[in-house]
Amino acid sequence: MLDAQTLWIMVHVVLLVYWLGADISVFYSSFQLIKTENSPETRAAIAKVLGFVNAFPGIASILMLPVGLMLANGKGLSPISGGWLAIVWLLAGVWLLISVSAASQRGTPLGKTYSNIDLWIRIVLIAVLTIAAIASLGGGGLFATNWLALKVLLFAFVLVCGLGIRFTFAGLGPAFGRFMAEGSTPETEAALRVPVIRVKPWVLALWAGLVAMSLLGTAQPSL
Amino acid sequence: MEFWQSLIVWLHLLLFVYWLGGDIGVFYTSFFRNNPKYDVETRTLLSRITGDIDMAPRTTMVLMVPTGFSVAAIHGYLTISSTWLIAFWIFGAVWLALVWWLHLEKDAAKKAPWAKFDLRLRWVLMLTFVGIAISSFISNQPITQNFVALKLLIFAGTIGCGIGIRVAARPYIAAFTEIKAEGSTPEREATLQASAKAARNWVKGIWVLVALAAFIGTWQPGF
Repeated sequence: MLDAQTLWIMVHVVLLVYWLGADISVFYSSFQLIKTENSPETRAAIAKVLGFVNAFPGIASILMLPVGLMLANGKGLSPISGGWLAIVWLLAGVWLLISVSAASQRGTPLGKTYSNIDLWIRIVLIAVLTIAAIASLGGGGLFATNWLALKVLLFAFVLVCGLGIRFTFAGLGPAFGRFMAEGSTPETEAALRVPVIRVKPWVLALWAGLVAMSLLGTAQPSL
Repeated sequence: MEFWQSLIVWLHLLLFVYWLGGDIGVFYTSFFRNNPKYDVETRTLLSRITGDIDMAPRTTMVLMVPTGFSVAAIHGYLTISSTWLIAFWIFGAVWLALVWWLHLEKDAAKKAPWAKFDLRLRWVLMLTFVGIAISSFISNQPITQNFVALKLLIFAGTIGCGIGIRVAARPYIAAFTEIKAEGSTPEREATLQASAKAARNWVKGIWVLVALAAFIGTWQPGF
């Protein structure tokens, strides 16, 4: 029979599709953005593609945590259950709203506020997840198996990479605005290139984290 | 499961991630490529970018053949010898090389016979997989589990949709070539839009089938 756990596994995998799978288009498009042989009009279209596709990883990454905790509880590997899980979902829902609002209100004072709240949520989450994972790896934490604790630790790592991407990419919007206004000059091209090149190691590290997490989840090795 | 077996299952899962996830970028970029408001040069560049991103789903589809049969074999759902599996991997590697060569080679005349061969190969594969699936439903040979045979049938369906895309896109390619050579006219744009719409329906068909196959693989129902 089809049980709830199976459905949640499916949701968990589909979230990875829209996170890791969608990210390849974002990454590729960002390089097209700095190619001097692409006309400003082409690059403006690419910027729109980038903005649209980038929303998918943003949403999927937030939903991954509550879904992951549900799966862990379903397997009997996490004590977070019942009412506590409901609270996790509620908090994730609020976080999602804040994050989506930050993206849709970008450039306004309200958008800035949402973005700051989102940043603090991530910082707190990185700290909490790292502590929970390390405590579990030491044998005295929430999660019953080491592979799961390692996944939680990697999730914190991935969140750190996400922040790295956010800070390096912060300069891209203004640089692109300048490029569109002033056209292709050595200065505008250089300003555009800096964030795109610097973000590369963060993105690759994030992917490596996600790929490692998916391997841990598939193999569930006894570590 | 041994760790190396988990690696194959994991690879199979990652292929799903990049198939469905990569398609988001292709799908969204195609709307800019089809938009007559952009100039021809921009659309040509966007067309190239769309084609590049499309290599993610194209690559994954090819590799689904060897990984899919290997995963079935790992679970003991195949009655064929492991020599066949090696053959599937060699076939996958050769077919993948052809698919990439067709993408990278710019000389259309040189490509034409091989593109035709690739299309015929897809017909042969689709019919062969339908045959294997039906044989397995009836006699449990060579696949012993009905849900795996159903996955193969669904995979044959995705190959069919891929053929559908190629056929539906023929007027598109002709119209786009004319637009590039002689400029945009309402008739050419209308042909292009109609053809693109037809192709999109096949693409959506692939999405539904791929998601369904993933769902059945996660569920593994006995019937």
